[in-house]
Amino acid sequence: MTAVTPATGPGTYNDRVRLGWITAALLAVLTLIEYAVAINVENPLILLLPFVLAKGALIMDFFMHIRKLKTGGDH
Amino acid sequence: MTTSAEPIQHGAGPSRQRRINQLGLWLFFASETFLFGAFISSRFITSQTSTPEDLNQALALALTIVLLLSSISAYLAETANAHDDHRGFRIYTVATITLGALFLGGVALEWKEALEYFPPGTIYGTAFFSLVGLHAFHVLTGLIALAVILFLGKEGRFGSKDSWPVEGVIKYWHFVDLAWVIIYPTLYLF
Repeated sequence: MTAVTPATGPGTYNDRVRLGWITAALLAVLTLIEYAVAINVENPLILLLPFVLAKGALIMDFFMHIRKLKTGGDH
Repeated sequence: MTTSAEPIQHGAGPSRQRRINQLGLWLFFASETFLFGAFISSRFITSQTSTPEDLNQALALALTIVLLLSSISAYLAETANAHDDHRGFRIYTVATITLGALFLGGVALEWKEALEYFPPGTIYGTAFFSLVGLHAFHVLTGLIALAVILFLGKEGRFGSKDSWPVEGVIKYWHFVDLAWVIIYPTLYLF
């Protein structure tokens, strides 16, 4: 049985690199929208929560590979 | 009575050991989440959602972007290591360390300004300095861990066959980034 290799999974090296950049771009866009909402809206707590949750989910799924905890492999 | 044809294995094989390591690390993250959660909730309890007008929003946004960039470089270092690209691993790990150090430098600058406008004795200052200080300490420990894997990995010691040390440290770095994703709006935007 071969050991599961992290940050590989389906796709080539270039595919994984591309996936990382797409995730980072999404995080950057969400951060900029979050900032724009915060400076233009009074008491933006409720409006910002979805952005915080979405960014957290992206990091945990694509960068921290949380799904590997369940499957034991990469995704 | 077992009907399995597989022989009973004593001790943990590499795959099983990796799963145990992962579970242990995620349990550690869970305990850290409680710690950060306590500090974040204390910010809302003591000062609700009010934020001082003197906060340096531009610097905070810049720090967020720097930490985000360090997260992608950390991911690239992990991916390079898993594909036995040792040169890529070293380059991206150095980039991550540099960006992390830049973040800490920015925090020092931010603290210098914050000390003038809302010192630790004020209600918001207490929340601000304790939360940012707790996070900065985690960044510092992350930088030390990254420096250790860079030093140990410079001879090509890690790679697809032995990737767990790198994966564990990089996951910790992403956790530090994740914590900032919540701390940033908590202190600056809400």
